[in-house]
Parts: sequence; C-alpha cells; structure tokens
Amino acid sequence: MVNRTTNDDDLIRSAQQGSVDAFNTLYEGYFPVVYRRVRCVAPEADVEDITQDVFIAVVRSLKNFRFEAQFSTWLRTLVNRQVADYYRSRKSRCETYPLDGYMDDSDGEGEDRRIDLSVEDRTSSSDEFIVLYQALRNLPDNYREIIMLRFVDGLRFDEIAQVQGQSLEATKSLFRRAITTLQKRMTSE
Amino acid sequence: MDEREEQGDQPMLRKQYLDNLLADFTDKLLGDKGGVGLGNLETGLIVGTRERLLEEMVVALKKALVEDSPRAEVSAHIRERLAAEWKAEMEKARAESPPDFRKASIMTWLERLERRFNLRSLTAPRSFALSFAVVVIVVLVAVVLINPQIGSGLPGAVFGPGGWLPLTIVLLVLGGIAVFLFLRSRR
Repeated sequence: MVNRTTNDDDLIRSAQQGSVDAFNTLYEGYFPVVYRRVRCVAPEADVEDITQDVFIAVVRSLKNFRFEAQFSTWLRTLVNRQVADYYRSRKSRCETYPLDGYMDDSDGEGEDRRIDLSVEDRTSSSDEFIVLYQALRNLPDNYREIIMLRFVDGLRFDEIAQVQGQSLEATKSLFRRAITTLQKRMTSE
Repeated sequence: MDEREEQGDQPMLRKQYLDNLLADFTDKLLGDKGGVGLGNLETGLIVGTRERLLEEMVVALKKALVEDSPRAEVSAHIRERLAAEWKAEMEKARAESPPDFRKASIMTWLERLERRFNLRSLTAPRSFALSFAVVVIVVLVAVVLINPQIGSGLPGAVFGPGGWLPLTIVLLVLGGIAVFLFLRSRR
C-alpha cells in the first residue's frame, strides 16, 4: 500500500459516483495486499471467501468513506473485521481455536495455538509457503502484524512506528523478535 | 561499578545493533534504500550463524509475501462476484436516495473547482453561503439597474439604448472575480 494516496482519492471519488471502472482499478491495486493479509491469518481453504467478503464490505461501505484516514488504513480495518467475523462464525460452529486477538482478550504472547489445516489446505501452494504461512498464523498477534505491515503493506519502519504508536527503536526491536520467533518455529515444524 | 554497567549494557547494545542491522537488511532487500540487492549485503553486514538464519527468514518472507502473487483466476472469480454486488448496491442507492446522488455530483464538481483553482473549500457551508450571497446581491443590483420601472434608465444613459446587457455582464463578471479573489485569499 505504497504512495497511492492521491490517485486513490480520485479513484474513490469516482467510485463513490458510481464508476465501476474506478472501483475495478482500486480492486486490482489492493487485491494482492488483501489476499496476502488474509492468507497470513486464515486457513488456506477459506482465504478466497474471506477476501471476497472484504471487497463486498468495501462495495457496501465505500460511500461512507470520508477521506479522514488513508484508504489503506481503512481497508486494513475492514480486513481485520472480516477475519474476526470469520473466526466468530467458526467458533460458533465449534470448529477450531481462533487466532490470537481475533476473538478473545488475551495478547497471546508466547502462546502456541495451532490452527487445523485440512488436507485441502495443502493443495494450492508449495510446501515451503504452506509451512511459512502456517508458522505466521501461529505467531502472536503483534509479531504477525509487524511482519504484515512491513512485507504485505510495504510500510517503512518509521511509518510502522507511527501506525503502532511506538518509537522507531521499539519497532525495530519488535521486528527482530518477530523474525527470530518465526525462524525458530519454522525450524521446529 | 562502571565496569559492571558496561558489561550490563553490552547485551542491550548488541540487541540494538542487531535490531538496526536486520531492519536495514530488510529495507535494502525490499528496495527501500536504493534498491540494493542481496548480493551487496553478503559482504559481511551480518556474519554470525544466528544472524544468517534471520537473513534467510527475511528473504523467505519476501518471496512469500511480496513476490508470490495470488492466482489470476482467483482475482477474476472474485471480481465476477463483485460485479453483481456492485450493480445491486448502485441500484439500491439510486432507489433509496436520488437527491443524494445529485448532491454528491454537485459536491464533486465543486471539489474539482477547488483543486483546479487552488481555492479554499467551496463545499464548506460558510464560504458557500457567502459566495452565494455575493452573487445574489450582484444579480439584484443588475436587475434594479436594468429594469426601467425600478431604476432610472442609468444603463441607457451610460451605454446608450440597449445598454442593460453589457452592464449586466460587467456586474456579473466583477461579482465573479470578487468571489474568486475572496475564496483564494482565504485559503
């Protein structure tokens, strides 16, 4: 989500006026980001459905977007909400534990909750990516979030520090701890 | 005491050093600092085994989260389903509040004017009301002057027979310039 702000604003205004082309351009620009974000937090088999739900929510809510925040920030909120809804509905069906932070109040630091990955989960990607995404899903929230902000959203460390309300030093430290934890979990799996 | 403090600070300094090193490595790998590739980073920025593993982890993350694009058919599939949703949403919006659509269209037009001429907010209620009031006053003055029943034939005296038209145009242009200058000066 890098430096698209001015262009985004024009596209959003046009989309709010009913331009489907403007909406499609927005969709093309943000689809990979949303897809990767969802993939970091949800089982492979449900990534497409959740991504679709996110964009349906965009279609329904775009008219209410008031340019008070960046579109990318607003979209991130929608993704988190849809993922939370997804885990809420799964919990109501007693399927699996949700990811940290999407359902309960625990900060999840140091806990190791496992998501069930069905056989179908393992059919669409290479083994390497599957193991990596699985390890990402099992990371504590704050570790996973900083990795997503840096790699998926493309924010620089100073921007992440601003978003998270932390100092730059604390942000870099958190990033190193996140990478270290992920690396350890990758080697242990 | 100083020696102990120094010894106590060392792990912290090493952690900070590693924090910066890893962040710097990631920035360079992702092209945020001059687009330096991994090749240039293998010259000893991070040398220990543990740090090498972290490097590899960052490289793997870049492959998975930056370079690995979602399948095109997934994108197309979702877009198809969104098209129907978009259509339904537009129809619903039109059915529910047609005036809002017109209002939104006027607001967009005004916002374009703002951006084009670097004006203060035309859509802000106070400036919009003031501009509207100025234009109304100018038009009223023009009407009074050109109406032979109300005025005293001033346009005719100044511009000759049929002089109301150029006077109206002049007044409207002056009023428009006044509004424009006011809005621009207040930005």
